[in-house]
Amino acid sequence: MKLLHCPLNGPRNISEFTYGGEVHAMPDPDACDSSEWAEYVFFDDNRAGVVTEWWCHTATSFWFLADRNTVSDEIMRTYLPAERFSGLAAAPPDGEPSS
Amino acid sequence: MPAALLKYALSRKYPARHAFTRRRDLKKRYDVVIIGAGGHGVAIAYYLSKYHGIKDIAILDKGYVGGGNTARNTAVIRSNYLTEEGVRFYRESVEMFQGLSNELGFNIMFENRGQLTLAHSDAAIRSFRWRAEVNQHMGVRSELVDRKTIAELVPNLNLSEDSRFPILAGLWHADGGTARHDAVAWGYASGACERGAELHQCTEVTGIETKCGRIAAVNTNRGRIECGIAVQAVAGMSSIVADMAGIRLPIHSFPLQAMVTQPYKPLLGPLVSSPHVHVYIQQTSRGEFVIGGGSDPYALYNTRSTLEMKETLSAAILELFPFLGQARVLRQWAGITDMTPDYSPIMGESPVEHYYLDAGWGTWGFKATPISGKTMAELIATGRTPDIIKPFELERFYRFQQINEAGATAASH
Amino acid sequence: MSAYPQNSLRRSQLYRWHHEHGAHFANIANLVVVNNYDSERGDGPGLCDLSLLPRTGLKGPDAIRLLQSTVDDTPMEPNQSILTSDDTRIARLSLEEFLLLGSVDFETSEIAMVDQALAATSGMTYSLPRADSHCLFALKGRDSPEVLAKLCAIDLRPGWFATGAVAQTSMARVNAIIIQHHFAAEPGFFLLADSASTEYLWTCLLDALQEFDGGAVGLDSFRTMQHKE
Ligand SMILES: Cc1cc2nc3c(=O)[nH]c(=O)nc-3n(C[C@H](O)[C@H](O)[C@H](O)COP(=O)(O)OP(=O)(O)OC[C@H]3O[C@@H](n4cnc5c(N)ncnc54)[C@H](O)[C@@H]3O)c2cc1C
Repeated sequence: MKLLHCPLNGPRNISEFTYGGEVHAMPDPDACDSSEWAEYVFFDDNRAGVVTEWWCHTATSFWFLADRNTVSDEIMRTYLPAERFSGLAAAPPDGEPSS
Repeated sequence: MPAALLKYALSRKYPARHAFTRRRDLKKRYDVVIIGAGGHGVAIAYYLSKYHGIKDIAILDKGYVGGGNTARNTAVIRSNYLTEEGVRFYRESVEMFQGLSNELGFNIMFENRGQLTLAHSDAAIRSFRWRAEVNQHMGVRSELVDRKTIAELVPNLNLSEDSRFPILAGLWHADGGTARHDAVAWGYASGACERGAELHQCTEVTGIETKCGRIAAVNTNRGRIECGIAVQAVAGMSSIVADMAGIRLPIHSFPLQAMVTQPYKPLLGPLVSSPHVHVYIQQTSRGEFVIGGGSDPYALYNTRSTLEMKETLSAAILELFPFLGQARVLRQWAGITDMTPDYSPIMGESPVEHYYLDAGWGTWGFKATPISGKTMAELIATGRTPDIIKPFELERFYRFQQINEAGATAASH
Repeated sequence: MSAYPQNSLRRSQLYRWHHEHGAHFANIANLVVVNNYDSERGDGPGLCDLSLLPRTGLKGPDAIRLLQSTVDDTPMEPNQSILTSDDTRIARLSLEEFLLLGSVDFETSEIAMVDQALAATSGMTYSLPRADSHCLFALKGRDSPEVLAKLCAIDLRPGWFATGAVAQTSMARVNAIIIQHHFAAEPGFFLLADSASTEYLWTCLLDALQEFDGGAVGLDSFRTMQHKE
């Protein structure tokens, strides 16, 4: 089975994770018009190549980001959302399983 | 080989019949360029050339005719959807399937077998009752059936109350059926080619040119062609081709896998599906059991098969049909499906003038091949969107008017 | 003296199964638990339904502070656990979440202390006890890593999975928490999963145990172990 490296739990079968879709910048809900909002909610880039995505380790409800190639299915890197979104508490648990 | 047969083969009196366009150069310009020679693309060409007198058509495919999802799908044909818009649309397609062999002069082997969807929870029964009501109202044969009727319809189904998810009831759809998927593509393609459309295989569209917001030309690996109208019918590649025209879509591409066992004598008439254990099955006219389930869990442009899916499908199908424990899996494969947020297609106009979309067919588009070919041809020929596909326009997402068929699609396709 | 689970409010979801398989019940502080079964396994690994074992949990930015002010030791890293002097197993499920399991003799005071502190606190921490929401089993015996290898992809053998290590993973296709624990001298694991999967998981584990001559055991099996020591 394909492995995905969870920043909290270490390498795990990819079936333990829930795919959360592409990372999109959210438009300001108070300032944007309804078509911008519709595009944010429904539309996707759906690119063939390396994309940044949300993933969740289901057993721990732990959300993180992954850079993944949607053609070769190679996972380049997984990391905490804090790395991309400032304002989130940077809480770097050790990447290795704790044993 | 007997000499008489050889003589027959070589005789000029019986020339080999070429169903499709033989390889030739692309012209500089076509009235209509169809991108993608899957069932949908060739059906559009067929209805354009036969019913609208439009014959200057190039159908381009980067691979070969019907080699995409048309070749990979499991050929569930049904109209027991949930929304009025959906039921109306798919009902007409199922009716077209019934007469399609005659229409095409090509045996597409449509079989009206009936389709049974299983409920393993009270919530599922409620939604089945809802679907049955909508279906009946729209003239589609659907009814809620109890365990006794299920046992009569599918005697070898595991109805034990000790299974992990016992079967409580079913949605019986007498109109459901199946057909030979390749034949559908071949029939439409040869019908279109006979009437003058050109089918160009191994011709990949690599770019799309627009001028003042209007389609001008497409670029291919074999050169540039101008066109008055273009339509894309490229399934899993929808976002990538649309992006060439500067169009962003509410589509995400996921692999969908299926597998098939060795052949058996006829054991299973109806098509059976269980959204709860996420599996569906039918026995082909060759006797093989075709088994499929839900899409892959994450987006991918790669048609690899996974051991995990084989395991999941096997575990699920053994719940329903324990006797299949003896069966051997012969093949497993995948297609890239263009999933929309509401599990309904995206058909009609695009932001680019004279560039039309036939996309968002996800895991459910084979059954729509005839109706989509017919209505898209009408749109291309008249410039007017037929009422029956109006609800499926790309615009619906901007109006927040989705046509939610997620529940009626899951693991039934 | 055998207790009757039907007459008690606090009984495991599996009590019918226990009853049908010759369980002898006992009453500990109004909890109906299984002491033993008519025919219990010999030397193979044992599976014990500990779903009623006292436990609690807490989550939030201030969880660590609350815990430190109540018990004398806490695990440093996510997916580790420690054993307190009171025999309470404290597992750290993430930076901000902890799970506390009482000792198998059902005599723990720390759980109640933490619950009291939780009720009193005004800090950013809330209770996540996984008591009614989860089933809890103990699997013990030398072969238990091999038993779980049939259901779970994590390598749980001693060389790879340290004493007290925690894995939150998929077991027989349901989400589970696996915590390494020594039941007296016997190595084993605490297993927690969503209570909706209790019967399913119990059956899966018993099925996996067959190959190792293992089976269901009651609480007596922990007591005799202690006597043997
Ligand atoms: C495993 C599986 C099971 C399914 N089961 C069912 C089912 O039971 N019932 C049902 O109704 N539907 C089912 N579907 C969905 C159905 O197969 C599709 O929705 C349908 O076949 C789409 O037809 P199409 O003609 O639009 O696409 P396709 O048949 O995929 O044709 C698209 C064509 O476009 C070509 N193309 C792509 N990019 C380019 C380019 N740049 N230039 C030129 N050509 C290009 C491709 O080569 C391909 O031939 C299933 C799908 C899969 C994968």
